Amino acid sequence: MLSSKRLTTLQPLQSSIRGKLVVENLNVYFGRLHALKNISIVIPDRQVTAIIGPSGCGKTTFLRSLNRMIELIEGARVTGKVFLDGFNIYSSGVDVSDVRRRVGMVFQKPNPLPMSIYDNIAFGPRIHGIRYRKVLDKLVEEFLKAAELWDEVKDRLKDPATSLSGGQQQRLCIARALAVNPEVLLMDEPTASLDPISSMKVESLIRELKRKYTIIVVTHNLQQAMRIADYVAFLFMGELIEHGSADEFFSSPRKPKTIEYLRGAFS
Amino acid sequence: MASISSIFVVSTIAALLLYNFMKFCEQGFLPSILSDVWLPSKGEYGLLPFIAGTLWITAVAMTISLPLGFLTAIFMAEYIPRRLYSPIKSLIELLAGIPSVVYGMWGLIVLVPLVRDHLAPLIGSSLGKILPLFRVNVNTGFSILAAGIVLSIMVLPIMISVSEEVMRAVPMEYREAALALGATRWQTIKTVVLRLASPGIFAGIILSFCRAFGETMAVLMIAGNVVTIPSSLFDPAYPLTALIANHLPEMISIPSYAYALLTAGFVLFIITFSFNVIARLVIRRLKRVG
Amino acid sequence: MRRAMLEEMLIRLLMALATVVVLGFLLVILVDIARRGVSALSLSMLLELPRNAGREGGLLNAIVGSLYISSLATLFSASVGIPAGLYIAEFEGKSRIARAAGFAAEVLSGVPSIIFGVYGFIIFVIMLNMGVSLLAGALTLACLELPIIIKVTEETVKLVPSRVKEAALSLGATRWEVLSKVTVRQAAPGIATAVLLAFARGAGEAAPLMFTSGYSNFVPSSLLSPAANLPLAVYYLIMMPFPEAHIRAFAAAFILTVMVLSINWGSRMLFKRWSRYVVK
Repeated sequence: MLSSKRLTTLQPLQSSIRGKLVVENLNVYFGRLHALKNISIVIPDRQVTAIIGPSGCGKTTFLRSLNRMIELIEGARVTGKVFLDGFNIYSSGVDVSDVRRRVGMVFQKPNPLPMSIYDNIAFGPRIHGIRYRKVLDKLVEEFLKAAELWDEVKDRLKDPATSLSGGQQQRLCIARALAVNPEVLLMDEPTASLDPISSMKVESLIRELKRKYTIIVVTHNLQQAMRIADYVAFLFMGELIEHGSADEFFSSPRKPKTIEYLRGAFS
Repeated sequence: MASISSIFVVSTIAALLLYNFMKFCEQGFLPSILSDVWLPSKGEYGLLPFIAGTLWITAVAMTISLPLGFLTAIFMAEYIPRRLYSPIKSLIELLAGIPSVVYGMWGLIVLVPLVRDHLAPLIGSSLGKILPLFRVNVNTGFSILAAGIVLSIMVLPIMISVSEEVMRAVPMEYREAALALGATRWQTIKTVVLRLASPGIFAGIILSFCRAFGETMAVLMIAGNVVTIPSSLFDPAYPLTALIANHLPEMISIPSYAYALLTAGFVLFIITFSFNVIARLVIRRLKRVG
Repeated sequence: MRRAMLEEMLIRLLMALATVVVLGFLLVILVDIARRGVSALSLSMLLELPRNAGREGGLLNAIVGSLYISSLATLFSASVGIPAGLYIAEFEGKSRIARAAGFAAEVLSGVPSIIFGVYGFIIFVIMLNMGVSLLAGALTLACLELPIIIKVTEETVKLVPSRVKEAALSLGATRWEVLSKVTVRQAAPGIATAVLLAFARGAGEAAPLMFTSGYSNFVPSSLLSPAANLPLAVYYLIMMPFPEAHIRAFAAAFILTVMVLSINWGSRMLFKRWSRYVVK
């Protein structure tokens, strides 16, 4: 359906490292502020990776470096490499919009586009070349079902997206992100602005989605991380302190800062 | 594509400015424009009577609209019951939408006779005996007073909406601080709100001034268009805008006349331009900080 | 009583008085216009051309002329002004041209209307040889309307929340796609309102048209023929010494005022309706 033709100009990487996203020596600077310090990590394919840490530790900055949305900030500078399936998304000549299509994002506060529910989902496919009404209809239905929103909105697809509740809007944003056929889904505190019931719905949705997509979730809610994560990375003050499979991480953390954090010493 | 149209904008204004300026320089009558003798047939192009006329009328308009507008703005921003805000604000905006010719027409039909038949005799015979400001020298009703009143009504909506918006923008916290110390509403406003809002209010005053200064149709119909330097509220005047409006077509035949009129236009332009820019800069800076 | 309390009461009284006076002005003027206008209005007034130096006949020439001139002017100013406003809003930080254009628009918005008339007279009527015509008048009016459209477009676009733009970018849209498909949709109601308001403003202006569109007792037959318009009709008719002409002036003023005020009011209503899809 949607192809990745646009990435063919990149240099391939000969690597024995297996993983959907391989981050190598990632550093992010905002002017003189060194926000992310030398992060290297391998994100496993088709699993939920949770990025945890106290407020301001760089979780969102890290996430936004993975789809090059960090560049939208004035004065942001990125060094290092991020390999998506072996291709460095930061090499020169890369089509940024294609990167963003392949690495989708769901934001903390739902951000519907100023259009109808239908058009919100169809927006992505449309800008990537799909025009036929029937194809779009099917796509809209498919992804609204994937986000478990179809039954609630199927009779009012033409209504403004802003007429949905917060939880519904967030699921709409998830459906919209899925509709461009990404390989990775970045979620920045997806349930932070939702009520508990909607949060539960989104969490179960995440568990379903990981069968097809690689998911990276930033969360400040440790219980949530314990519920949904397969793999965990702990960031503190811009540094990657520890990472590992969720079982190991929560049952036997190794670094002292991790232990402190898990005990709830800081926010 | 879009940049072309922007350049278009820039060039329009540049052309406007430059052209007037060129003519101004060319004309060579520079020394005499501040004289008070306007006799085109003799080549005398003193603009003083017109400048004086515009200033007098604008002054009257500002004197009336300032207190009225200011008080109304405070009411709208601080005291008004919530239900009334929307309708009254819409009404005031309605006032802003009325075309200036209609104001002029109304002034002609209602205010001019009012001044002539009631205000002038009344005030002329009382205050007029003491203060030259109120003396009635010529009583046609076409006067600075009439023009000033109409202009003040036209200018009120700007005065009110700018002041009111700036006052509303003052954060609640400051007000609460004063009120919690036992200040009355008015004391709070006096010491807190007005102090913070004063640059914006000042900008509103300047914008109103510009509007009054540059108004054409209404004053054209009411001010009397007599070439003198006014000395009383009841005297007629000849504002710069009316001068241009009345004589523009004639300028194509007489070049020096053209220069004079264009100079008048240039004066208008420069004054409104500078004041306008100052006012908008102030407002912009306020919006950024607040 | 404390002095402060007295002050408070005094201020409240003054404020109430001021507001009453202001609203009073409004009511007096509107009622007067309405009264005289309604009594002067008749079907023949709307549908006939004037005869006998304005003492007989109707206002058809002015009504049609106004519609033509304002529509044309708004068409011109919107087609130049909307792209300009979009450009300035998007590139203000990065392009000197954008900043200069924005500044030029600011300057233009403060220019007195008669100066536009002078400018239009010199440039369109004389230099470009259009003569006193519908076209010259429309172009002059377009210059007057231009800053309104640019400024409102610019402000509306700047108000588009960044999260809306981020959403589109995260789906893989290019900057141009974000601008043309998302920002414009979000800003559209505001821009459309700006166009309506510019139209109403232009329709009410007389000074710019005095020497550029001329006046005529006939409906304009071509772009280069002189055209009457309602504001100038009011002016010329009321300045005549004939009471019959005055009646027609009242009718013209009434029609003009109703037209302008209803567009102003209506655009606000329409704005609410158009904002259905807009993200707040």
